[in-house]
Amino acid sequence: MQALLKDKFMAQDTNFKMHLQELDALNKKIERRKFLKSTAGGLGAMALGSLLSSSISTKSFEEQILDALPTIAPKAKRVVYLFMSGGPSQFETFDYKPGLINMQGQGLPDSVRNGQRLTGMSANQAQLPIASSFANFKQYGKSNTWVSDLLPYTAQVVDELCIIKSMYTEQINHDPALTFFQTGHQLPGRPSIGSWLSYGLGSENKNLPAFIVLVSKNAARDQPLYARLWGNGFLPSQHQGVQFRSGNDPVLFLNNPEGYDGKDRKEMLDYLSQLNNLQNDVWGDPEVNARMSQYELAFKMQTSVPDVMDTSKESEEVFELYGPDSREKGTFAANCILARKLLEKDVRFVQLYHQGWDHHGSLPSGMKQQCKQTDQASAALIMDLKRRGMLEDTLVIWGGEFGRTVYSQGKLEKENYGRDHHPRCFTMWMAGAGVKPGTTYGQTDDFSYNIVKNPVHVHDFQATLLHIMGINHEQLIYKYQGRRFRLTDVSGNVINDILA
Amino acid sequence: MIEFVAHLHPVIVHLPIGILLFGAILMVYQHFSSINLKDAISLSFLLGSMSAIAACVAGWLLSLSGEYDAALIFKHQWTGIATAILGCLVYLFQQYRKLLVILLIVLITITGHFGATITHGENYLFNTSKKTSLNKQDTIKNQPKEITSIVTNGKDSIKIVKYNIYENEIAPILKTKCYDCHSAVKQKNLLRLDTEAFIKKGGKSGLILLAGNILKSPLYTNLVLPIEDDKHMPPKGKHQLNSNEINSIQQWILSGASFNDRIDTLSNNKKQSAPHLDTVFIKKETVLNNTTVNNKVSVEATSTNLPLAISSSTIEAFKNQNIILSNLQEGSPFVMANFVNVIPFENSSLLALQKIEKQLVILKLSNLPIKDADIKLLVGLSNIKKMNLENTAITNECLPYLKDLPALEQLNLYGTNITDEGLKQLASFKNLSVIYLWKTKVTKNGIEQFKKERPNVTIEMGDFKFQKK
Repeated sequence: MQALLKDKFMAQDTNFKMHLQELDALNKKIERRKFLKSTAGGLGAMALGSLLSSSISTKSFEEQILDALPTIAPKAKRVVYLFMSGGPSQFETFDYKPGLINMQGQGLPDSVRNGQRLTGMSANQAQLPIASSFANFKQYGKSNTWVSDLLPYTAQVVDELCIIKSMYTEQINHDPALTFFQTGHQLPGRPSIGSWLSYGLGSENKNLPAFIVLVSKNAARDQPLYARLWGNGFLPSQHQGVQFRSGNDPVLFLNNPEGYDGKDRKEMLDYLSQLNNLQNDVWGDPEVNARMSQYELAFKMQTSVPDVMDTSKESEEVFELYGPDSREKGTFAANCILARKLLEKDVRFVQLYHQGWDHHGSLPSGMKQQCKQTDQASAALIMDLKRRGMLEDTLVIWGGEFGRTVYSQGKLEKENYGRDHHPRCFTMWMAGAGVKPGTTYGQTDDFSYNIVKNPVHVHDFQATLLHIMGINHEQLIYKYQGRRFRLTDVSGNVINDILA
Repeated sequence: MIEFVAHLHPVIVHLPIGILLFGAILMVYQHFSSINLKDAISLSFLLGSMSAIAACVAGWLLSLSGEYDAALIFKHQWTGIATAILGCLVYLFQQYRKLLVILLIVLITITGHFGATITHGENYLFNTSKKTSLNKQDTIKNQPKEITSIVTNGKDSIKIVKYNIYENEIAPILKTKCYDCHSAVKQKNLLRLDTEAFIKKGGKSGLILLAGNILKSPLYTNLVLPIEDDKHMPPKGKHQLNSNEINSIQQWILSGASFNDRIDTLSNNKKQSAPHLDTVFIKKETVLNNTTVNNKVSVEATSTNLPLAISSSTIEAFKNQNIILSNLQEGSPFVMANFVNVIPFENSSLLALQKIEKQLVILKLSNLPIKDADIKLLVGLSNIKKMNLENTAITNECLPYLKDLPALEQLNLYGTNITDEGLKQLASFKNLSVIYLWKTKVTKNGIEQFKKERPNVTIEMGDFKFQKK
């Protein structure tokens, strides 16, 4: 009798241990919310369900947010963001300050600078000599907008642009300023705008990533770009930007190894996804899902990418429009053609980076070069989208991470000077879906040093961008490490005055 | 957390009722048998009293929501507290236990009755007729009708009656389906629907009625949400509105949500039939049961004015065909369909669009081998405003079919074989305002002709050229 009882007890004990293991496994597998959901269902059988259902929704927090999108009627379905990395000078492009010619070489009045910090590069300069623009300005278009003669092509499409002269940022150096612009925070680690849009609105074309990045090959690489600028941060990794390179291999490691058949590949991926599914069942890590969807997308991209990156079928007229550079792969102009092709395929967010705008010295020659590389193609992109009927639901953005100072960094000569970083005001433009064409918003003082009318903070810009895409920036949220994160962090206002 | 505990009140209350009564039963049992149950009885009253206190706390929290009738709450609250105290006394004073127990049972009964009144409404106890089975036709027949004139043609006489939609149609629906939680007895979400003033006032989440606009009237929108939605009304498990009732509310709001207007309706004397909304607003609808209400909401657009939202299951079904449906905006029933993923394209996939013929406003068929005959499959898309047909194989032949799309405002035809002849046909498209014609066979001459007839239509010919610098 005793032995029998003991046996039974032992059996129960092992049974118990077994259950512990299962529980442990379950613990790893099931997210807390799912667990709550399932127990709520169980209690429902005990007539508690109706009471609980009001407090515990059957949908996760994120699902509820995504279900509600778009919350605003979207004006734009796609964005192409021409990022002018390095900080283009507003003085030689759009912010015409004719009064500076009379003050050429004079020190910047303290009443203008108002004790504002300068970078270490010009803070110790004995004098801060005012440098007027070497470029001339003329008025263009029906809107009579002043544009520098460094931008002869942009000047011809100025009636399509909504120029914001009163942008300002909080960051004074490249990397934090870039990171701030792209992710809403100066420190690395948050998702980029394109990732937020991919997360919020998903991908239209299932054969291409929702967020694609193209970096100009022909730019002066004065300041580095890091892949984290188009990173997904804490969002699931399928939302990260995918960089397409110029050349034969636009996406690295996408093609099959030599001698490897496409069918084999598919078979291998199918088995791999079975294995991954097993892992997913055990661990339930969302990154397993992300990895599977990335494999799947990569496989589809084996055919879709060569197709979309092939510009050989573009007509002569297109290359004419985008300018001579466009025939050479990897240039900004060629990337603009690619961007248009990607947008035609309904890629949600295409971002072009063009470096080389950081003109601490030799600004005149540098600006001439930079404008020559980007001016025609940027303008051509707008008109090309327009005639295809795409400008009405595509938003085009042009701009850098900050502006440049009114004073010269280093020695001031008529045809040779430099300008330091200036976060307090700079110019950007938008065109296409959702914005008023042929308008200028905001105003800077006579030194383009401070904003006197309608300031637009980086978060305001981000909020407006999301608004045009149909998203209330306060509602696009992702919970991570116990905090609810937004692209616009805890601020940002939609600039309604520029909305069409 | 507080809300959670509060919601447990209806569960906890049953513990003291059961345990205390069990204690009383044990006392009776002990009276007739020789077994000593003293300890068990004491334990019962101790546990019963403790659970009564717990019920009081949870109940107090629940009352904080303010959703219930204050007078009833007052009675229920104090009788409940008295029950808990009396329970403790029963436990503590063994010598008076018999007397106290009788009092306790009376008190439990009274408290329970008040509680049930709060939950189920007044008169629940003796009201044997099932209110949920109340037939709409019956209520209407009972309504007094104001006969204004009688017309006879010799054989039949027709009465013209003044008919108030709110009183005769809407209020009875609200009474049977909504008053349980939104009236004098209970005000869930601080909302009452039993008088005009309360309906206009709205609830905790704001106004519920915007006359003429059903999309901004939660009084309607909450009815047609998927039943799983938290905001769906009546909540899952409660008696749902049938489609006739939903239609009635929809039509009432669309017609201005008047509480007082009386309209003339015909009443055929011969048949003695009551005027029905169907005779006021022409429509035919079968009565649906609970489960099909959901489907109805999702698939069929029955309204004459605004279609119903497409359900997530329909969106999923389109997804399986690689057609992306995206909402134009939260709360709007209108969608856009994009065929960019339909590779290889087969024209049979266009047939699916008939399922959303009322909801579809933007259709994107760009860069697909669409032929003229395929356009025929699009007939009936009555709300389509914008269509992308660029870089397809269509010709002038398809334009007669497109003409049958009454709402069409914008047409992208670049890269197709449309000619001047086709442009001439487009001039007769009434609502057209933008046409894209780059890379077509349309000539400048053709556009001039067109402009004479339709000067306000924007035409994008794509003839922009840079002036070389």
